[in-house]
Amino acid sequence: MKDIIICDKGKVAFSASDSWHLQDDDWFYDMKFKTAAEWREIQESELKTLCEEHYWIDVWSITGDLTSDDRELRIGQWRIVRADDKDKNGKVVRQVVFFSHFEKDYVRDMPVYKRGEDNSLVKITPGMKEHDDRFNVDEDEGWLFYLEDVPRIWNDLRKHRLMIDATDKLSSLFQTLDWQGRVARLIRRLIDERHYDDAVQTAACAVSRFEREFLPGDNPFVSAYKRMRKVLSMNELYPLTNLIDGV
Amino acid sequence: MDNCVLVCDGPRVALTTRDRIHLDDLFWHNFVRDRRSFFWDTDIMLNNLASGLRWFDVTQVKTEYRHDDLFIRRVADAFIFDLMKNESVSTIAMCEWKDGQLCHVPIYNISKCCDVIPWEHLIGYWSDAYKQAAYEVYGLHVKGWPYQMFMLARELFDFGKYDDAHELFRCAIARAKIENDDELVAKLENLEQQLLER
Repeated sequence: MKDIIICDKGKVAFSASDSWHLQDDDWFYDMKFKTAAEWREIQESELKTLCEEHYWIDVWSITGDLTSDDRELRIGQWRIVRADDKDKNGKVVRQVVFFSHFEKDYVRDMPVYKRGEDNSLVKITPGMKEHDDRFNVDEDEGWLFYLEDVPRIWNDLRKHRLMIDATDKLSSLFQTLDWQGRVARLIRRLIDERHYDDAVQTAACAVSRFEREFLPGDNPFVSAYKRMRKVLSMNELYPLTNLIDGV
Repeated sequence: MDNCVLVCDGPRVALTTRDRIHLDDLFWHNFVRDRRSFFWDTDIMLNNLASGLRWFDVTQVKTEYRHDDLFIRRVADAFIFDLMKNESVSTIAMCEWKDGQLCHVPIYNISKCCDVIPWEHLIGYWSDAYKQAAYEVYGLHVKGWPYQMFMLARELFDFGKYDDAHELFRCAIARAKIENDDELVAKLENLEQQLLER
């Protein structure tokens, strides 16, 4: 199912979100064994391959003439409509496109995008002078992704995956009701909310408490603390996981 | 006069007050104590402030000009700013026009001068004021782990996760004890007590 749009300036490609790894998937599992430099190379190569595999449509090549039937383009479950607003002298004052997604009898309209610099698609949001309550829909479910944001999303997902892995020794505590279980769950929640520094400092405090209370067995927070710190200070020269597994 | 500030942005100036541009201690103390009730987006705050100030472009001044309570005199590339209130006139600041912007020239022999603040430095002043207020209110430096853990515990407390907040305080106190920082132990215990009493 082609459920997302990838946008590169004025060109769009309809695709599936899993093709672009926009959510945590097995691809990120493989990536944790790579150095930061390898990871960057893989990212570049993957992005290039994905761009080549997709068919790109220049939305501004569609006519904006409101009287023309050609201003609508249907591709699979998607429809692109372009509309140009003109003043009384016939001068184009605004160029917009909007997308609709068809699923059986249900049609979803996405926000309207105007033509920005470099032909880019700029989302029209409340507060902008182009915003018109009659035509703008507030049904943005994150369907359109800018190509330039994809590497950042990948980096975020990879870092999140590594942080989760760094705390795997805490998972045995998640079901317990004592302070260790409570703090372990707090650390995991902080990671899920991307508050990585808070998670690291919480783990450091838990390490101290474990030591102060002379609890039996290995201190599970030590490993989590050290591994999380290493993820946050990734070194390009060494495979990250070698360092992590050495803890 | 103590509350008066001259803000400069390129060739524009605006006379305002310290509290209006959030440079008063009270604002930051309240902000630190109750962070969630404040809208905080520096770009929007700056825009709102900028649009609320009465700016004047000093390059329009030939020799002298009255702009509200501000009387501006020009001598070559120097600008002298006088405050006119109730028939009295007092010089509050002096600036030099250099490289397309106004540069503050300190006046050492006048006791009644006001602060001259470049607009682009305002966020820096806010940041300093926030750090100072955090230290004055909680006794913790904003860059350190104790402040970070206290803020997290307070957030947990605010969201009704009292047990999580308590356990986090216990952990932080244990860390302070390991670091042999008795003063910090006392501070953290006191801060937890303050949260419980709130």
